[in-house]
Amino acid sequence: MTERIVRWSLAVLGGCGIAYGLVLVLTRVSPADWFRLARWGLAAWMINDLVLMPVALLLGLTVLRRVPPRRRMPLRIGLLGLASLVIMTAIAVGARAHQKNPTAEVTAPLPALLITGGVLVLVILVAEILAGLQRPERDEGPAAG
Amino acid sequence: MVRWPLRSIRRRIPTPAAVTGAVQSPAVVTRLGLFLGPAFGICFLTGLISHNAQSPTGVLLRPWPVWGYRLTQGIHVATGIACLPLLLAKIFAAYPRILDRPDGPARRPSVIIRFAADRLLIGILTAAGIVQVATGLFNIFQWYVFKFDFVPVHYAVAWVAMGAILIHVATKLPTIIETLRRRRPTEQRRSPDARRGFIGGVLGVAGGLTIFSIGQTVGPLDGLALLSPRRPRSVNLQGVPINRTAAQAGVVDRIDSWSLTVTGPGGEHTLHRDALAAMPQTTVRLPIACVEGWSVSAEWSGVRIKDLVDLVGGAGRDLRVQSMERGSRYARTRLPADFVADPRSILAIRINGDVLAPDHGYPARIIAPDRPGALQTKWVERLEVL
Repeated sequence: MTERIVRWSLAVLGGCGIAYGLVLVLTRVSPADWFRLARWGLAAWMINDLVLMPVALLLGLTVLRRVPPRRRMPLRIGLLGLASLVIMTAIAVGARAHQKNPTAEVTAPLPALLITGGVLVLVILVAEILAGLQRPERDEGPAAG
Repeated sequence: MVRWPLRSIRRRIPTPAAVTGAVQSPAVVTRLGLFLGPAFGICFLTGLISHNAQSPTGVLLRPWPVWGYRLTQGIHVATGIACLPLLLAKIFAAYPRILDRPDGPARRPSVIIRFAADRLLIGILTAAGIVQVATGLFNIFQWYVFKFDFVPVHYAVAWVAMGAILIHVATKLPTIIETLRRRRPTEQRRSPDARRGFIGGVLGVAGGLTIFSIGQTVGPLDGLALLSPRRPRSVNLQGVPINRTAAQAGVVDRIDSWSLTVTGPGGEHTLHRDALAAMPQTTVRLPIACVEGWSVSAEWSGVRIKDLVDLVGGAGRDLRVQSMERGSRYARTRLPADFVADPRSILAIRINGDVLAPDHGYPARIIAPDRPGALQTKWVERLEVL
């Protein structure tokens, strides 16, 4: 019963949130920006459903299955960390090229990527060595992702 | 008659179970949600504070504590950055769901409608989440590639994203509860080490991104701020970063002919810079905290706003602040009465012992405690008691 009340309360609150957000789009966002926003929303959905998820699926089916079970987790974390760093660096590089404010960028993005990427690899290696000392190798099941 | 090979195509598409790996389980998705949901919630609440503070009728921020906005906006941006790997991990852990099919007889309208509504909600949730994180990142780097007015769009989409998260939690609540309550012996669970390792690794990546970017707010970590758009304590004009230069604001040509007009119930007063410098000066150490997340403290010297208002009467009333800049959302701002009365609110003409550089708002700018940087108006030319 309590769960039912919580679910309904969350659903009603959520519905109100979405409705209020849409009202804000209609009343506070310039009509000229509606199309741009819709384009970004559509692009975000497409990136998720047509790029990220299929790429993850393909990587899982083609690459991860060939990797020994014990090496899969560091690979997953490494790829995830690298993807995050590359996204941040790509934005920083693009921002630098478009920046008209001389004080806006003081960190060179590519050396930052190399240093933080190096730290990521180092941390994963150390964690794996420590974990390897503590546990025997065991299968983690199918390796689709 | 051409028969579409739908059944054959349907058979060739793998089921979610066929592509599910060690980390694509309700346990991982639920536990990632335990971090991603609150992270979005923190961003939402701190965003509401920032939005309210910038609203003409905002009431949430007061002059105390002076570091209030610095803290809330620093948390907003740091948490937003941490959302990037959390969001990627959630997408990664949940990707087999893209192959979901209607649960039950596929021809029954109720089954199809429920399935379509679920897909629509997931679509709204992921689109709103990705738009928020992506445009937020672009905005803190001041790369306005999205070309729409960021503030109202980010605010509106935040409500949509939070609403979609709440409905998503409502629909998945039974699974969430079941997953969190389940306590099977370790040997019966499928690859518990892999799941724990994945969640730990994702949190590690989120923590790493935070450590390498939060130096723009947390002074001692400035040296590590390799991923932040600003390093406030590094090479900056007069020790403070600049978001908008005098040239960008289009005020360079008019600075030499500057004068300050103060109007109120008692009349109008015009002051040139020498007269302003001859008035009693106050020095305060206050942070300037930007909506993009960076913040830095500086020593500001100038005339108390209260003293300027006393010239024209009108104590206890709000003040309208007008910049020489034209056409910007922040060219005209409101300083509420309690900020006007606060002895730390000044019209600064010096920063860290030097005369303000034009890019810092020369000849005079507002500095008040616990205000978003965008409202610390530069190149002030008119103060009007309301």
